[in-house]
Amino acid sequence: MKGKTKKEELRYDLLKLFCYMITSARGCVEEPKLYGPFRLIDSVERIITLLDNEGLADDFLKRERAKIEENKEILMQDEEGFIKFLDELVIDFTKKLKEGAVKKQVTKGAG
Amino acid sequence: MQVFDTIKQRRSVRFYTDEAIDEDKLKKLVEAAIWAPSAGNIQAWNVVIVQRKEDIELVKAISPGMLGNPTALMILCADRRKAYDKGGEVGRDVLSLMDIAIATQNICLEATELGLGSCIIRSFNQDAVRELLDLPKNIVPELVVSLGYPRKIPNPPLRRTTDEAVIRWVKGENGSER
Repeated sequence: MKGKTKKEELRYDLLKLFCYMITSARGCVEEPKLYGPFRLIDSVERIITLLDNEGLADDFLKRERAKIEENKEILMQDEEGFIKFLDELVIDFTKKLKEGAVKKQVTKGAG
Repeated sequence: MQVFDTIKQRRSVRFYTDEAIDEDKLKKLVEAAIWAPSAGNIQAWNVVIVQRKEDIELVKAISPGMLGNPTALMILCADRRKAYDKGGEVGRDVLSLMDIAIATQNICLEATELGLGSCIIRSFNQDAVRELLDLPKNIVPELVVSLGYPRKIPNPPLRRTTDEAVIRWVKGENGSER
């Protein structure tokens, strides 16, 4: 990435992410069913890393990324454990979403 | 190291240190692959080695099955023309793939013996890899082996027992048939 501006670097990193997602989409046509969820989770991890590079990832996202990195490989050994892990992520993110919505309401109310 | 120990020690390693792999070691891995058996000794395969970090990143971008941060890649490619010329349709469509699989296992076992981690990957887009690496049409990437010095070695996944694996054992005069 020598000689590239920060914007160009980000664009290039996003391009690599899109390549990953597109080849994943193509792969999912023939690959085992659970590879789809795995690729989506892996994409989330990669997006958080991009956000982190831009200083936009908060503690919650960093924590969830670490969790994904730590647990995503469960799929290779324990499909049920992987699904359970996905369930946990759903709750983590939903709680965060709810927290954000409440904050928004409060801010609106205060205005 | 005994062969059986090496077989049991090999893991699919996906997380590596930044330490680069010496060219000599990579050559040794290729040599291990070359010594694998192949149907009719056709050896209808070739290897592409990628060590430059930027290029590994590019291959990774079109290889959803590649996790972690390998410091080298070995891309095992079938030479479909050679396989067909010498082995006919079965040589091209079946045997060349089997030969690549055997050669790949040799690479991974030798890597284990050399203290390297390896992981066999098939979740990549073959057309994209061929396009990226400017490979001729008859050269088809079939497997990628990611390589590096292990940062994290996973626990061995459960294996079946020999009793589960053997579904019928036709024994000689002194044994019983299963």
